[in-house]
Amino acid sequence: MKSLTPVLRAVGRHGHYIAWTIALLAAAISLYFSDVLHWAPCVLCWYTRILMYPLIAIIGVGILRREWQWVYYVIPLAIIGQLLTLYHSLLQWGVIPEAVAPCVSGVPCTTKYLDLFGFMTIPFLGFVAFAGINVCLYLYWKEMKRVA
Amino acid sequence: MSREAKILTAILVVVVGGLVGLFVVMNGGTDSSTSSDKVDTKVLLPEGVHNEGTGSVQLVEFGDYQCPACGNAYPYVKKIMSDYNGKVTLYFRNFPLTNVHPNAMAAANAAEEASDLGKFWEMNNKLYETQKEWVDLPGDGAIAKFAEYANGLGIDGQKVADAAKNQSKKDVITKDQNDGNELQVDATPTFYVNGRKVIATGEKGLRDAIDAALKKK
Repeated sequence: MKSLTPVLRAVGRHGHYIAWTIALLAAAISLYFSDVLHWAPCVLCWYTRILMYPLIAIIGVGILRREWQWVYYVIPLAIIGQLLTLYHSLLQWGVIPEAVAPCVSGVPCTTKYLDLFGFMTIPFLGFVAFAGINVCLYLYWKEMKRVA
Repeated sequence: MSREAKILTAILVVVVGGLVGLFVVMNGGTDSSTSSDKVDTKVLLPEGVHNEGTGSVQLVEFGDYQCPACGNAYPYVKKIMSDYNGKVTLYFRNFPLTNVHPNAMAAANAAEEASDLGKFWEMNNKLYETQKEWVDLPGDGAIAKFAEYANGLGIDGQKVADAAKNQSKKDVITKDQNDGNELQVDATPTFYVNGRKVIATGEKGLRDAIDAALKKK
């Protein structure tokens, strides 16, 4: 743990709360998009939700039980989520050709409901959220291993 | 209540409260039902596009007669046209997804031939209303149905069948498809209201977009 700066250690100590907040925010915003603005989720967005929503319960229960080993269950989900949202972002940015998209009917995965500054799409926000969760939980895990 | 539970509750209140507050502040301020970018009108609505109504709001549909989602949208588009009586003009452009819908091109040709015979909208409506009858038929079976519908509308069914079989209206349809591709239409049905792509879905999304367009007037 010597390699971590005091700031990173502070983040690590509160990483579980930050990760839970990120998951909660992501879920709330995604529901706002679909249920208030009526932006129908595409197939990849649904897969992303499947990976994000359970984190609220897993992390929340873990915190309430004052355990930290739940990190081993959360990080794999968050890594898969990060890879999935990266793929989805590349699809929307046109880096991966549209023909590869798994959508056949319904809302295509290339539909951009949000496109700020030419790159900030909904999948990219998901990518940032999963990346944030992964970083926080990695630092939290390091901190817990240190004090254990 | 444990310290952890208090912290989680506080976060929950702040996050949910903040988002509800944001929603209240933003609600009604911006139109989230349509894309912020207005597309090139010359590409979206060149001369000669089928239109119905005389309203100031332009509602453009890129549709595929064999697409189930277009078939589902048809009743509410019709209802919207009736509810907004005189306020909306409906335009139709062909976007047959031929890679997944084998009868879509024949249906589009049938509708275009019906247009030459003066019954485009009648045929358009008929194709959507009877979609379930012909989507799963082999090509010849579907074309025979189109001829039957045309006869029922009082136009020459044989001419419609020939057009569907020989794809004699392919140029018109390809032009629609090319324009759709240029506009980055990526699904059917895709709607535009006054040149802005409707991104909110379903009947409510379409109504919101039309309401927002009417408010801007």
